[in-house]
Amino acid sequence: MYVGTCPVNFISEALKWVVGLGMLFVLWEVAGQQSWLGKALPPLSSIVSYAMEPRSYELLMRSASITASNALYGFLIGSIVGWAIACSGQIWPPMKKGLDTLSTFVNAIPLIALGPLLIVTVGEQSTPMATAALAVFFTVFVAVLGGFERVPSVHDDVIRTYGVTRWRALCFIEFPNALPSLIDGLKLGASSAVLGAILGEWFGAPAGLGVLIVSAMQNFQINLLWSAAFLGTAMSGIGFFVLALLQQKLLPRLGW
Amino acid sequence: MMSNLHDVIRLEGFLSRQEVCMEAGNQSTSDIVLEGVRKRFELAKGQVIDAVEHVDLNIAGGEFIALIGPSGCGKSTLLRMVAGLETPSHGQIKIAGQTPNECIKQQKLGIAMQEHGLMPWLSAWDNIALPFRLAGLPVDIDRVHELLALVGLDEFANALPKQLSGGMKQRVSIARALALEPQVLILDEPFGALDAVTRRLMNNELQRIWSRKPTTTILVTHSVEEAVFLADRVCLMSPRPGRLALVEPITLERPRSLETMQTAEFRNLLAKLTAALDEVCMSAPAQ
Ligand SMILES: Nc1ncnc2c1ncn2[C@@H]1O[C@H](COP(=O)(O)OP(=O)(O)OP(=O)(O)O)[C@@H](O)[C@H]1O
Ligand SMILES: [Mg+2]
Repeated sequence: MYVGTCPVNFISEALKWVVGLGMLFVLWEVAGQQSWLGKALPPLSSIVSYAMEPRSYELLMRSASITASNALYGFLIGSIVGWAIACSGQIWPPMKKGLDTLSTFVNAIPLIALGPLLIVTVGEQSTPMATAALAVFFTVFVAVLGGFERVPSVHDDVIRTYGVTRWRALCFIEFPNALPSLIDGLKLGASSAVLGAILGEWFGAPAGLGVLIVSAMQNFQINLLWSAAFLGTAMSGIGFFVLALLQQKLLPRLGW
Repeated sequence: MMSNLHDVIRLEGFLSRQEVCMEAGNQSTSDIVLEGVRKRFELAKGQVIDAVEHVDLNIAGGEFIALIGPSGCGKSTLLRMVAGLETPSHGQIKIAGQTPNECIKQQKLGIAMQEHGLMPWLSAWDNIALPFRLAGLPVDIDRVHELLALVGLDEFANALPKQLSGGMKQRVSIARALALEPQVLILDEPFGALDAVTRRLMNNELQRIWSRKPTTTILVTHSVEEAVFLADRVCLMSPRPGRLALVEPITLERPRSLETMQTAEFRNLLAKLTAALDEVCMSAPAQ
């Protein structure tokens, strides 16, 4: 029925993006050419041609794939743990208060401060994954808890009138109700994961975009800095886009 | 016409199965006793609302009670207390000698509330099958199909709630309430969103379900006609704080049909109760 309107929407949506980004890029190019912001903002064309040079291209890709895998694993671990812990509070309510406090506490500690601690405990190699996981954990945890809070009171009535066990209530009623919130949380978590991974790489990881950014800053390689930053942004963007697509396609099919 | 006939035939099958269940001897002692039941809601800033004030009522096992009264008089609150969803501030409620919460644990209650409360991610079929899953029982596939047919939605088995009209959702909700063959059926304006014709059809079905397996039923309705048609006793609640202003036994012969509604006896009861309802509404203190 509405199949016909779908591509139109999609095209107009894509067009908006192209136009928006195009304008931004043109502005950037001009600003770079005219050196409005000095050397810190080179023209886009010089960044691109730098990134396309075989040597830097290979370096960038290798680093990006390491960061991507750190972010992805961190994302998976963080979201599964966040989801599982939020659910366990639902099954055993006394735990809920403690979990709330703990997670707020964990979130209040800046990741930067946790870095050295993680180096000592999980090692330099795994630190980026751990920081990514921590960054995602909180987002997902809070999102799922928020989802549980939005279970409509009529559904609570159903749970109570059928004398449903905590576990079945979670599986059949509470978790499905929290699903849209979970996906929202994952969407936000996608960029947190990339950010977390890059941050983790600053603490002496052997390779990755974070390492590249630190060394580019120290050696004032502006083109390299911008290329790495671009790749990081693109990564979060892709993650966000994939989850947004999931949200748009999956949720309506599930009745939302 | 043909499809209606089909429904009726399928219905007969459904009902005779229920009959067997009854003969198997679970003719229950599902009487409900309400004793001095009150409900006071505490609002913020120390304000209170007395929703229900002192209700005494003995409902025999298998009896059909209709509850009528002006909007906001505490009908839903009373039902929620019987269903164990609210605790009375005073007095007590016993169902077959047990508290509502004990009955809940044994899946004795079937409830369709004013808001349908269907799961948006489940099809009509799965929504009706939900009580089985919630109770950890194997889903009785035949029963789910029979219930779908009973509420006239067998063509919509796979439809999601958002694809159903308001009345259809209510019908699914009634079917869900019946799924586990409850001993007590609690219905809060289940036909509110139905047109007059479907409503009469549903009333007929409800009467048949009930007469083949007398289930203690409390039905809240805004239609006096519906109340008289279905009930053994009609309870009229006065405006908030609600108490029983009138309990009218309906002695019309069963099964009741469209012809019953034409009889003088029916008309008299209808007129009497309508007048009584008007009177309680008028005498309400301005709020
Ligand atoms: N959870 C609650 N907290 C506070 N007040 C409540 C609550 N539930 C109901 N009330 C109040 O109790 C009174 C009775 O409400 P109730 O829902 O029982 O009315 P009702 O007779 O079912 O009305 P209607 O016919 O419109 O459904 C109302 O004044 C309402 O505001
Ligand atoms: Mg009500």
